Amino acid sequence: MADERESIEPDELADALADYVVRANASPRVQKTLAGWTCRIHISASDVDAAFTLVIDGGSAQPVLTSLDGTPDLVIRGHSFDLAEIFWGDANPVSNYMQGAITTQGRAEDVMRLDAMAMFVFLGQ
Amino acid sequence: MAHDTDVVVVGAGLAGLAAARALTDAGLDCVVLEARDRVGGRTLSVIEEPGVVIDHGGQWLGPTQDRALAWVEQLGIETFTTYYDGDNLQLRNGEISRYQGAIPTSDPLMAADLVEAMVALTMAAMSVDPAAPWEHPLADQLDGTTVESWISAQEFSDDAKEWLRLVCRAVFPAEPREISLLHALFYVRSAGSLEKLLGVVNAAQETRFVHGALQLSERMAEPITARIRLGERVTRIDHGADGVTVHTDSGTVTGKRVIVTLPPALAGRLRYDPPLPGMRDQLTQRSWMGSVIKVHAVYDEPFWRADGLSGQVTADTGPVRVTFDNSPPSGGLGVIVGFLEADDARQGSLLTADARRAAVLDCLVSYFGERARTPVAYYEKSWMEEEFTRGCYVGIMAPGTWYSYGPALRAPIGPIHWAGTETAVVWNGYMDGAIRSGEDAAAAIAADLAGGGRG
Repeated sequence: MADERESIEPDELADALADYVVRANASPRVQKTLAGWTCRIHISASDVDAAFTLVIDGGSAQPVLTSLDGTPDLVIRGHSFDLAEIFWGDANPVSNYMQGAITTQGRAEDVMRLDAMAMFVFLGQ
Repeated sequence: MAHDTDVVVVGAGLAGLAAARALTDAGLDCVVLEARDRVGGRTLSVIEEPGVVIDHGGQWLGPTQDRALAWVEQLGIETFTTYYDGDNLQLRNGEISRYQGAIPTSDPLMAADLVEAMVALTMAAMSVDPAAPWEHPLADQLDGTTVESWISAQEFSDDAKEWLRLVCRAVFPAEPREISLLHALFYVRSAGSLEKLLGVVNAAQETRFVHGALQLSERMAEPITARIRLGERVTRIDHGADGVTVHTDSGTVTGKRVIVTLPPALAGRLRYDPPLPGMRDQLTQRSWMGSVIKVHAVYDEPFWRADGLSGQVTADTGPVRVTFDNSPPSGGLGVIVGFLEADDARQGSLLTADARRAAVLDCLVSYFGERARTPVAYYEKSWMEEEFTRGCYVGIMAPGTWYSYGPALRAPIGPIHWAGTETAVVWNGYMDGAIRSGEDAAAAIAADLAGGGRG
């Protein structure tokens, strides 16, 4: 299955993540539920040379850095196609497939809050 | 005083076996007394007709259940991943919808409410010390608030609230009116997050045993078989500065220490001489076992998979509101496992076996179609009726109990130590918690005796 997926160019992945940040910050559910959450997240694609740092500060997603910066609280790794699907809000981030396809390292509560942010974006809430 | 053994272990479930193995490794002698004619406690795997392993009791492992996973690896026990391909089903207001993952998404408002609830509960849980929930600054408030009160007070949709009630029944299994918020938060904290409790992938339902979960206990017991006495029901424990005399239906065993691994509700039914302190006894009066009947319907093939279904269901009407695909890894037969939980189990237990089976199959038909009505075999196990368990999955502290009696759950009383999954700090209520609790009790005794403790 993994071989059949189309790799996403790093620039396009960066655009998708930037768009994700905009939609996350516009989500009233994110504002309500994740207020006060601060987390530094490293995101890497397993199939293309793309790595990003996403900083959540007080529940607000900051502009994305296109490199791995600082010491992360969470490390996310997955195929560029799967990452893009989540960033675009096209795939359920907590589907069984995505839970297996995307690896996360970090505290369970941070993983849960990132899942929640992605779910609110996916649900358009 | 000369003793028959260093430590008497009451119960040969996973807690008792883990304790016995740890004691043996520490160079201590032990005798394990088990009322049943088998080891394994709340795990029970049987090769049923037509030749399929049915786990009538505990059956899943998941990531971060490190002690259970370590034993599985050490003993070379075969496991496999729970089947989860395809869509889950949700029955809501009489309508079926499909979804993926732990949360139904067909109604975005409801799904967002559920995500909000999961975040709120998990974050609140992180403020609870699982080793001492009673020390939470708001412990009296949280332990005086039921899960139902909390759900009712939220500004969630009615459907979201009903699904949260389903979660409560599925996890404990108890009605939300019966559990305090503090107990629920403790339980979530003990597992790591609500996601970990509910999900399959990267969660508590991820892994199954090829030959059944009972194999873990049987393999743990193998090197210490000579120390395990089956069919010996403990009735009384005499205790004092010289150690313990443990009475069974057929004799006595003396030891320097005893580890009681029974759930508090059953430990409270033993006689103790002298009687235990009032705080401990009143705690056992307020700890009760969850209500569950586990059912299996066996089919000639897992026909739901051809429809793109995972076999997982959540439903707002019972008696079976939760199901999973419990088919063997080898293919061939298809097995659906379902749970009658909390009030559904209580009401179901009042039915005749035929009426209960018909009600269960009606549910399965409503989820998977008419083909579900004619399984080639059907099995059910009411853990409420089990004399030496009296309920599953786990013992539950009634509202107010953690706050008023919490320290009495784990504190040794003279030579009497407590274990069992109900005492676990991590993965309380699970096989992993049982193992951890047994190992912790054994380590405490080994340290005590090595330091010149009494006896």
